[in-house]
Amino acid sequence: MRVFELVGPIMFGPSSSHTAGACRLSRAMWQILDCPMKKAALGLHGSFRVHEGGTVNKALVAGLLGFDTDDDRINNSHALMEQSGIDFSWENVTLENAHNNSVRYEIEGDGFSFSAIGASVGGGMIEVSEINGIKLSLTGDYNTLLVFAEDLEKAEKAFSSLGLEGGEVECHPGKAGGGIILYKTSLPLEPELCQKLESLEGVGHASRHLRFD
Amino acid sequence: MPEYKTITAVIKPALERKLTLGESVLLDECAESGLSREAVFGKMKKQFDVMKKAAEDASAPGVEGPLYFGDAYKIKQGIEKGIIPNDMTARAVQIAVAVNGWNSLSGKVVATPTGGSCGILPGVIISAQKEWGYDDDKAVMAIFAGAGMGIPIAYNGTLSGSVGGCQAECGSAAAMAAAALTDLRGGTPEMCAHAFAIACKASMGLICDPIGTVSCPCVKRNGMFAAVAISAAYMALSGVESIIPPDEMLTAFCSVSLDVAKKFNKLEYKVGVQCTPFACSLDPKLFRH
Repeated sequence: MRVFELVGPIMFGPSSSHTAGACRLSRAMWQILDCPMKKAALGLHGSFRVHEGGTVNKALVAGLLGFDTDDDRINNSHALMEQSGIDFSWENVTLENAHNNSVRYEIEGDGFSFSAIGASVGGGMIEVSEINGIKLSLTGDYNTLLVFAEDLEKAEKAFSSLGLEGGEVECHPGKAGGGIILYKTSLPLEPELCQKLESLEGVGHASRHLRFD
Repeated sequence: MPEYKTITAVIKPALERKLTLGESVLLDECAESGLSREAVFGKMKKQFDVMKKAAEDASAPGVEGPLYFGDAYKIKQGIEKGIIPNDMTARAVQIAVAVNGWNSLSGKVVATPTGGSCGILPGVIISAQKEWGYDDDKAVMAIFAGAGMGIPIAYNGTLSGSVGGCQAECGSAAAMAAAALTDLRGGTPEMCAHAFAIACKASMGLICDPIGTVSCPCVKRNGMFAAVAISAAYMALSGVESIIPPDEMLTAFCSVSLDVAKKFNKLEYKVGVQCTPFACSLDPKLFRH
């Protein structure tokens, strides 16, 4: 937890959960995908549900395009999403035991796809609580390296071979021997790490979610 | 880097190093983030500039929206015409209303700690600058003190109005601003903790019941809780202590926040001012984000 979670970010009004946090939640998906997005299907829960005659929260849309919380383009995100060529869709859903400001994502990119559930938890803070059906916790408090393993055992070895120090490693087993490795650190994570990991056995995809600055 | 999970954890490093609370929080932030003092301080200063610009822009005549009627300009006129005093509290109320009014109109603000409560700390700090002549660097340092003291609320409770009521937003902001003003006026870290704990008492149980997208009653509550923050800081600076130890007050504050919001859940049904015949007569679209 950092002071800039309490004072910050710079954002557009009126509600930090529905502008700054919404933007960061979707932007986390953009970061995790880390390749050109082809399709984004959103399941909108609680306060993000779209009511009759309404539209999807524009900050949720903006984050998928990679915009940050103080980016003026947020106000034009629906038009920019249309121009982007991304197949964007949404539906209202009810997620069990979910935070009031939750979204379910199904994201498809050029060579990688995933699903996730996350919430905008107040003051612009977010928590991603599930990726590909695996329960975990991803926030903006630290830099996170995400390793999507096809073979978790091999991927763990591949990850160890990087010799990273000073962070916390979490191994989350998934279906059919796969899973997700999270490495959380306050130190910088270079983008080259992902390319290196992806060349190693057992690793399907690797990407970073960066700490909120 | 100590984790600020309790009020004691926030003030202890300041006491041990014999630093002001703001200075101590800044140093801990540098250690935690690995960034230089210049980078961390500069980032907060940039945010303070956004607060000041919002206060200025929103105080102009003609700033209005569907549920905001130029209130900041009206209060400014009240001060300028001598109808209300040109003092610390009146100016803080004016600035808090201006900044949160700006937020309600989708203007650029700094979440402090949220959008719905973003006027309170700027109101208190900018007004204190005018009262005592503090430069921006001093003001920014005090904001670090307020920000640090807010962290235990995020750990033990919530800052989201949907989850913890208005208490989680305006109540937290007032407690943070009380600590910030106490630090700015040269209060010790313990005094900052007492200012925080005293301010917490004012908002216990306050529900989140906005009409429209965070404007009514949020904007006026920002003004009123700026005054709460100043009252709490004045008491603490004069040597008044919270009878309940600050960490026990934090626990009570967070527990009430979560309990009350369960009962008054604005997402399930209308609560508070949302139930008034006037609010019910408005276009339902105004209730949504």
